[in-house]
Amino acid sequence: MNDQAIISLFEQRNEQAISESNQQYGALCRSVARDITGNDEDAEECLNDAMLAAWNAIPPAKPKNFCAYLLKLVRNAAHDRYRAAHTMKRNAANIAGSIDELAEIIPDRGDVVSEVERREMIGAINRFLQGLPQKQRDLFVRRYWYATDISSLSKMFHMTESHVTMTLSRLRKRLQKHLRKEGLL
Amino acid sequence: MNPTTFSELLTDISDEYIVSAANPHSKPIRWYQVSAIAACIVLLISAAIYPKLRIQTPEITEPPESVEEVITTMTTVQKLAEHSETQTATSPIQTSFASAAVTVNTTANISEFITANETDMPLLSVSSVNTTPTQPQKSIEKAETEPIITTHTHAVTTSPITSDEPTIQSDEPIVSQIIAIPIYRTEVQPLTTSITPNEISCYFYDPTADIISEFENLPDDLDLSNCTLICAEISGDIQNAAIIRGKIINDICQLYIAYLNENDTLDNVQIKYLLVFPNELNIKSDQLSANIIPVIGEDFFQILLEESSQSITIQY
Repeated sequence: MNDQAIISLFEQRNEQAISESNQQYGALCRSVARDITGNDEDAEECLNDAMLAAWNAIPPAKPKNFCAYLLKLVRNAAHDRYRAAHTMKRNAANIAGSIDELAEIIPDRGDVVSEVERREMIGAINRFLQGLPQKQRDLFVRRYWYATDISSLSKMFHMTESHVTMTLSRLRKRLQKHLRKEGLL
Repeated sequence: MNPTTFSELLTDISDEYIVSAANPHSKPIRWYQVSAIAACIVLLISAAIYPKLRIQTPEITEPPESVEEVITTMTTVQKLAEHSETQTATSPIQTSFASAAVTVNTTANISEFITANETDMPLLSVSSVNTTPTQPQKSIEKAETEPIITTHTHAVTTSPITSDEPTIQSDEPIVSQIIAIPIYRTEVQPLTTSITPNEISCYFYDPTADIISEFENLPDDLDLSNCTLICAEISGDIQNAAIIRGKIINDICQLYIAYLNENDTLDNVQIKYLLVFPNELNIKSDQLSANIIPVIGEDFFQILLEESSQSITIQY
């Protein structure tokens, strides 16, 4: 079943939309949630939260890319869980490593971000990603969006772990330079 | 902003990048990637094959100064000569040669030519060149005194050595027979018909009475009952050409034709040769092929021409 058909099921308030979404993107969503939260139970709950959010949002929302839409919902849910676990000093998984890496370029100035600043930042990141070769862009997104660990990335992209680490380090520096150039850092 | 909020901000990046990174392996190979890969493969294959096909034409600028120099030259081309023997023996009859085709076989031909001349004498020394064509015995003696040369008799094997045949292990050299056949030649005649620049061709045919009459130096007492006459017509954008020797392999008689083309001007000329084969060789015009060798140096060409002015040796 394609994305458009699944969205139609959501619009018809047909519960089959949930099962079809699960069948189509469940595995991918679980892996994203697992990499961020660090355990399967939380990942499953994140997926359920995301499905519920989708059920509530569609309609009126009509996502152009249902896969990305669902993944974003899962990621948001997983981030919420990560934040709660981090506050309680529970050990989170791969996302902690990627956030530590981002700490090299993003100075800690509190967690309050205005909506304007947020939009500008997202635009700047999109422009940065647009200027990257596809392989480097996928690597960056895999590491900092999907929170995939280094060893999995090295297998996924047929690179050595040191090569992956080095490439990511260079990408972070490029991002920092880019954000400074746009006046966001 | 802190790294955690930045990480959360990343959630809202473009959908395109998220989906693209979801399956980095499953990206379709684009047409230009396929083209590039195909081009690389073709280049690799070409790079591997081309050096083998392209054999540099060695320039014969002047005759070697000494016997030692000839031996040195023969030693370096020995393997090439043996290799080309096998190739030319199995090649089809070729009666016309474009310039490109000539270049491919040039080294092999010259190497054979040099190998042959180690027994035919003329290349050994300019100063000792005897214009009388019946000198091969002398040069054979000279060659046989050099152990390197005697081993080169392998290069005149009458048939190619194939994997099915037993490998020759004996120390005894393979002895080939040599026969001198009379040849007659017309003067270099200008050719009116248009010829492609740098092209040279050679045609063999049974001569008619009119053709035979063109050879003014043909002796009146020539006994045509015991011999076969074949006319070789060489034409092209050259200054001069001469049939210098021949070799019979697998019932195909290969004639080695040296030609001179020193200047770039378009010299369309024609030279006719009348070859008198004894009947015992049983040679027909369609069993002849030509190996055309460029020669550099007019003086050297004149030596070759004089050496083969009355007869050429045929190995068989």
